[in-house]
Amino acid sequence: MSWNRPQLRSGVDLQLQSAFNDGQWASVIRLAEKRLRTFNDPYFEIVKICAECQLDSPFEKSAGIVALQRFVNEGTVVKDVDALDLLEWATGSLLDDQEFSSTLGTLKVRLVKAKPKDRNGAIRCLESCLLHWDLFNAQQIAAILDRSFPHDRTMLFWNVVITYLLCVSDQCPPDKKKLYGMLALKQMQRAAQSASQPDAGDSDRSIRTEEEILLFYRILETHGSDADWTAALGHPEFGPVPQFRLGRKDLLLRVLDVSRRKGDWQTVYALSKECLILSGSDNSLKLLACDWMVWKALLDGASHVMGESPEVLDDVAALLDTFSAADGVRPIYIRNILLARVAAAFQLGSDDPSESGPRGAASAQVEELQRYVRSQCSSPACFDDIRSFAEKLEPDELKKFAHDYVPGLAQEAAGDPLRSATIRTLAYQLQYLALTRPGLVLPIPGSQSSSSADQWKCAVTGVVSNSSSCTERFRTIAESAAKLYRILTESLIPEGNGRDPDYVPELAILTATALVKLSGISDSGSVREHLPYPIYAARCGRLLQATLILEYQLSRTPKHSRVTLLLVRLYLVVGCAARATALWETLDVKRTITDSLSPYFLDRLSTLSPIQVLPQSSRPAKALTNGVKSYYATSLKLRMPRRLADAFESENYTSILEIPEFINRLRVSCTMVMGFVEEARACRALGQRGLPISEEVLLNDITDDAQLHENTDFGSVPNLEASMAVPIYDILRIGPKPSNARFHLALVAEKYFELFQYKPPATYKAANPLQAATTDRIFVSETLQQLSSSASRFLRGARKTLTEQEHFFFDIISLLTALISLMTSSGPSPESSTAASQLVSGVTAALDALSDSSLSLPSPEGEGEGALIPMLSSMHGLFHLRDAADAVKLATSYITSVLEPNKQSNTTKEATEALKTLDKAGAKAAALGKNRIAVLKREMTNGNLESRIEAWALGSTAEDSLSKEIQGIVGDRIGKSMGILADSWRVGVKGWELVRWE
Amino acid sequence: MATFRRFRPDDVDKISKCNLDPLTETYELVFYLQYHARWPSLFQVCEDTNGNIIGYIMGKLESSPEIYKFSEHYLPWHAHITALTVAPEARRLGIGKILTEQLELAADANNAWFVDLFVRKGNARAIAFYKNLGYSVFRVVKDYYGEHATDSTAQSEDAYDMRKPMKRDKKLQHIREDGETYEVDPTDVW
Ligand SMILES: CC(C)(COP(=O)(O)OP(=O)(O)OC[C@H]1O[C@@H](n2cnc3c(N)ncnc32)[C@H](O)[C@@H]1OP(=O)(O)O)[C@@H](O)C(=O)NCCC(=O)NCCS
Repeated sequence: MSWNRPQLRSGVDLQLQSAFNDGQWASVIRLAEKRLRTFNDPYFEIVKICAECQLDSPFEKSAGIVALQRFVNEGTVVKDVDALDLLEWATGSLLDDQEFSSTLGTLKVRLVKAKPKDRNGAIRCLESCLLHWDLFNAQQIAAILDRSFPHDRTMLFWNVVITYLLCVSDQCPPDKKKLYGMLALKQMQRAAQSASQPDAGDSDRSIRTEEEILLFYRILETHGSDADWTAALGHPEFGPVPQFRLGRKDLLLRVLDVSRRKGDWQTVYALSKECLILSGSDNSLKLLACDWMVWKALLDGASHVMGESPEVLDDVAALLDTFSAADGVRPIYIRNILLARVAAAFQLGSDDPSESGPRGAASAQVEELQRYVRSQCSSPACFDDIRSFAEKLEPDELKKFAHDYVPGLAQEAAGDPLRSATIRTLAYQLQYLALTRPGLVLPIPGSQSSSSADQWKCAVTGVVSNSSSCTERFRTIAESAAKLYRILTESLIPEGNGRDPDYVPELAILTATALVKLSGISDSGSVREHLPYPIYAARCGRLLQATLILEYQLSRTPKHSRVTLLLVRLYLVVGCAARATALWETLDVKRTITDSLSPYFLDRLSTLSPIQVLPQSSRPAKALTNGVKSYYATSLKLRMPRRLADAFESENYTSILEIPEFINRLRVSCTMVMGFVEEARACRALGQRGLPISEEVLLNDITDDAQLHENTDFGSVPNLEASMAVPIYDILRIGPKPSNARFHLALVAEKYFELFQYKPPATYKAANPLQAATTDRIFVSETLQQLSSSASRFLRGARKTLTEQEHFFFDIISLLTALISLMTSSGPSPESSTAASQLVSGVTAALDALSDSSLSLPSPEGEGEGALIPMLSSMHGLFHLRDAADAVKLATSYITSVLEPNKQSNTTKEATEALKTLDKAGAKAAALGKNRIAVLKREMTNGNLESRIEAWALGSTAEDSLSKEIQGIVGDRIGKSMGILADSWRVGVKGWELVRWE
Repeated sequence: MATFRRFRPDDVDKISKCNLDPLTETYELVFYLQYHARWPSLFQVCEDTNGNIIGYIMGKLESSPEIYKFSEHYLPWHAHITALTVAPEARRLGIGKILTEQLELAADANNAWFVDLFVRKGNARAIAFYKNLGYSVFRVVKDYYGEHATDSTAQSEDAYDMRKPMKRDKKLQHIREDGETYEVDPTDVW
């Protein structure tokens, strides 16, 4: 905890003040003692203690803690807030948050009890407890404040909100949860009842403000009975409808959300309908109720109640008609209302087959979609608006819509080439969407028996293929999009000047996405899990083409975020980490968006290219992870941010409830752990020293029981797939997204390395080396036991959250922790040697499997892309192979160092055997890995890399019209594009040459 | 598709559509939390159906510190727009306007004299937007921004301090006809 040095209490003499401010601690001690004698004021004793804490010796440093303990145990009441603040400052860094409650927190409550009428003093104590998240003592203080100042309504609501926070937190003893919950509820209900009386100003103990009403509902949600809840909804003043009439919408949205979760569809429907009707009649409310969420509630509610009350269908239709006919509404509302019509057609349409035909549900759906597109087709958001509906159309309907209707609109707009191009882009996006609906590729009946290979056919394109993924069906859409893109960029708008209309980059994205599909990289999920790395069986040429068109687009619109995001992932997958990094940096992801965005790029980067994480070997300050680490260091400096105190001061109760919830989640963010792990791995690989993981303060909270929280924001990343299909950013990934299990395992692995690689400072000399060695050994053995149990806990069921190589690697770590414990602790016995040899064969088998999966190539003898690109894109495995070899080496050295001095007869022989086997396996893995780097190094200088890439990327364009289009688009930038790829690979391989292999 | 509602802290995990735009600054977390803690009804977002934030406005209510009471630059009780942004693909749909109008409603509800904001003199789009909503230039703050948004050779950029009177200012005493010609130094702005 870093508190700024406080001022001494006013009234303290100047001499002592200035000694304190100048940090003259010896003088402060002397002067404080003197003042204590003169005035007999215990304040000076505390000043003295605090000065002692600033001295160097460990004994004096702990003076504050010792004093705290003494005060607590002896029942001392420190009646001076300034003195307590001083103590808090002096002990801050030595006291962890858990200890606060039983020491300073306790003293603060004692003080407030002793001086219940000192409002300012009590509030200072309260704030300190809250910022340390000591709810137990905060609640007691708040209750005293409320009792002491019954005419200060703020104290009442503070007391309620803190009592509520306590009852829902894990600081509350389970047997007290109910009690505190009821207490908060009863107080609020009383405050609600008295609200019918006239407002009595500051001393009024009834609910008045919007924030107080919101708090009332929050408490009702968790602690009220159904009857309480229903009564509140109908309250003439605090109900969501009367509040809405006052222009307050937040309660309505909250109530809709809660009712939805409760499955109370009647309420959802009735409330949303009432507010929509209200806003239709009152212009000033119009601003509020045309929100999509309200319409959605109306439709979801109606769809649930229409079984029992079919008349709701007419009501909804009437409402929609009224709103559609209203004039003067804003574009965004027109959009919402039109979309509500579409949604209504899909959600409330009849499933009755007798009603199909011209007036049936299906035709109503198409009709509304057409209406929507007609009105909104020139908006860049149109595709996103309708995609979730369009994909629900029957394949035939969707085909007509995407291939006939929308292109027809483009045709109509032919007089306006730019508008027509926008609509055509929309048509292509819809055509692509149609292809990504699952279940469209069907086996051709009878094909199984008639031919050796099964035949499959795409229901939309009619393309026939030997594989159920039928990637070839994406060729036409890729080609159409590329053609249009080329026409547009060549003739219509040749000048990019950074301002291409939206659909130009969108066409580039669509083409690239279709090319990725064509590459076959996405081969169906189940197969994918068994591939050693993403592009193992892909046609890399298509992936390179995708990079070409996106790079070209970036040359026209630099920093375009959607294009950049897609390209970054593509580059990571094809092994161009250097270029990916350069592009990522143009996005300027920093500060608050770090948590949700940096994993998109940074997760596993160290395994692809450690040098990208730690760019200059001499300057760790340049590490890419610094931004991540500093974000958490800044945001989590205090247990709770001071802003929480602001929310109390401003009486904003929703903020008081929401800020802690958010902060507590941020403390267990996967991204935070990722930042530390990525850096530690890169440091290790490059032989640099970083701060040991176990000394990172922010990681102290991450015990095995902490459930790590993942939230990558993909909102800005292009995704044109149908909702059930795997999004393109998930196809272009090295492995599964961040997860609780993976990061716990990563921490286990880092702690394992730290345990054996840590070297005490050269100046450190143990007084008694023998005793020190024993203590060390005990420490190692205890740590290993913990690591071993954590590893097995998190490995259970973790297969799906890891890449194949991660799984082998963590498995090896887990086996090694068990093996070392076994071989270094237990006495010799036949059982233990059997167990040891089983563990050893477990490790060697896993090492072999890891080597295989990291080094195998689709066509080992293959020419060109057949070998090089897969090699470059499989560095993730290589990294784990290196780490695993390293881990084995550390294990054997440690075991040897323990066993060596006390050589024992028969066990030693078996142990020596086991160690030899292990050593050999580790060395072999390392040699294979090193060899791979040597091969890559040779490849980089084998002939002209640029022209080789060009051949792989574009092949013989004469035979492939799609490649020809891409070549046409890139035009004379081709040399530059090849340079980008080649340079990036060269930098990558150079970086790997710096990686240490044992 | 859009819903307008109050900001919640976890919205920061969904703001990339707005904040990846180079014109939109990303601040430290405490900055967002401060507005949420103090002026929650003046911190509004617009959310799309996937929960992405496609626009937001951050505002506050304040007057100049008391010590400036007698300065000619003293600002009486007013609302201030600290940040306003709409995701590029959602512009020109009226989202910016709705967000601003909601803030004006809150300003009126809190009896503010006016709403004001600073904008780069070169940000023609935003200036056109504010003028359309009834804001006018009250004064020009010379060299308010440390760097120029579009001209890398320039050392600094002027700001327009723009204002719109609220209901309380019936006599329009807090706006100026010729604000474009009224120049002040950054030190006159608190
Ligand atoms: C300024 C900004 C917030 C406007 O948001 P918006 O949602 O696109 O604006 P609206 O659709 O509500 O526009 C309302 C009116 O303002 C005017 N306006 C908006 N953008 C304009 C532009 N680019 N050029 C001219 N007038 C414009 C128009 O009169 C428009 O009405 P109309 O579309 O019916 O003609 C948005 O462009 C933005 O986020 N810019 C980047 C960040 C920024 O500069 N913020 C301001 C810093 S103080």
